[in-house]
Amino acid sequence: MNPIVTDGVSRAYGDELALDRLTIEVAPGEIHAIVGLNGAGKTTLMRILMGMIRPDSGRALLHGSDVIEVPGRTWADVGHMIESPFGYPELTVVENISAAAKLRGIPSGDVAAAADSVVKRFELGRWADRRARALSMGNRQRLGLACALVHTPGVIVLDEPSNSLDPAGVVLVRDLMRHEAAEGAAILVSSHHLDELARVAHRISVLHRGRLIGNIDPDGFDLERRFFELVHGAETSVGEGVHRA
Amino acid sequence: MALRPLLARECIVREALSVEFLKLRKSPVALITGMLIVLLIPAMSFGLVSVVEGSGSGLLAEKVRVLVTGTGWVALGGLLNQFAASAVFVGVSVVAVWCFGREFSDRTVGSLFALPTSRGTIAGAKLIVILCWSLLVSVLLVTVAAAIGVLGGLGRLDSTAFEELGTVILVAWLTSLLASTLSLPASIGRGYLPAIGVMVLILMTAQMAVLFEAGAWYPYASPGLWAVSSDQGDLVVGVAHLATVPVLAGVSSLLTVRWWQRFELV
Repeated sequence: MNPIVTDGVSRAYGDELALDRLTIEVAPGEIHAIVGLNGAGKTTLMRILMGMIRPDSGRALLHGSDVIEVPGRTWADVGHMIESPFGYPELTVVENISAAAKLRGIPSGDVAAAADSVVKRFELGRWADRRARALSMGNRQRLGLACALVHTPGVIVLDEPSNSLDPAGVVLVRDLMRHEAAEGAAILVSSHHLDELARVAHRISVLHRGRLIGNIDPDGFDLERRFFELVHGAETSVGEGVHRA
Repeated sequence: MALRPLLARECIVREALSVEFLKLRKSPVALITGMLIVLLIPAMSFGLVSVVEGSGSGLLAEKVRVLVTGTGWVALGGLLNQFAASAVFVGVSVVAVWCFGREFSDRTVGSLFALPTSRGTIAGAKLIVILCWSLLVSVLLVTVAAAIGVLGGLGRLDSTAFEELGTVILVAWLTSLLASTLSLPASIGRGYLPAIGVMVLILMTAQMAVLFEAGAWYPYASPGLWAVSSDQGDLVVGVAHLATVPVLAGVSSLLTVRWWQRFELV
């Protein structure tokens, strides 16, 4: 079974259906991108996968285990950054990364080496001893990514990872995702930047009103046009449904 | 892809404790609150004892005399207890509320999901760190009070002094246990303000309970009442009453850990 699977997952907030029987999979070594308008359900999907909220129906599975009762051993292979990056303002960059490494189950003897490695990888060396509160938004984002990936996880879930990043940071994240996927990681990523996703994703799924409404070929042309065609088509069918009712 | 072997349970708990300890050690909230408790309470208590034991005929001396029982170390211990019962409660409450509420206010709580270290373990580590910090603060408070007392002329540290200062540590730590219960409203309320509201409510109800002579069985009032009544030789609070304090703190801790284990990030 693939490392990331959702099987008919639904979730509502009150009367509003945020996810509607959603089924997706991410294979080892695959970068699966999710795109959609604001409120499409991308973050809800990722929150369900990370056990932050429970689905009303259906199942979300990581390495074959339902996330509601997934063992600690499985979580040790997961890295995620959803919405806010990890970073306690009173701790320095290195202290934050070390804290994240400890909470992710890295043995204490290996924490310093893991932190050092990820500081270099995310080019945070200049700010290593600076408190997180004094970092720019872009560097806080880099810190959050460093904390999420300090343990080189096999399952990676990233919500808008290139938010606030400068062009160099965007390239860095792109290279990092490619590298991790080449090492066998299953990566689920969301973004509003279609062109950016097309450069790294093996598969792009379009989410709208909590449903998968189609796919976009990452190697295709005029991705935005294809995206809006899918969204418009979905809206039209919803409108027709309302008229018929 | 093969999964890494997981650390032993005790290692996970140890690492969670070290992370929470680091956060508290680096926190200006804990540092400032600790300094205020450790320095202000002994200084104020000794100052008031000096006013009473000095020439002592002014309006201030008359007002303070109402608060003070006995002389020397007994007077200092009595005042320390009275201040500890209220100021330590507020101080430790602020730290407990910060420890739990900050995860929501600083929006770091999302990063505590999907970890091999469970959120229940993290919450338990927070509670342990808060109680260790409050014990350290209580011991430092008494150490500073002893130093001020000796240097200020209350005499050497005799058995009376040790008995009085020992009572202060006990009252301060029982009060700290009570303050740790604020972790639950800080968690359920997902931030500082709801828990601060509960703290104010607790202070008000404790006053009311004492006023209506029901304070002995009200855990939030009993340690302070015990300290005051034992100083006045009119003991109305016994071991059974004081035992409600650790019971309440234990139940609150269990509920807090359970809440952290199960809550959804909606």
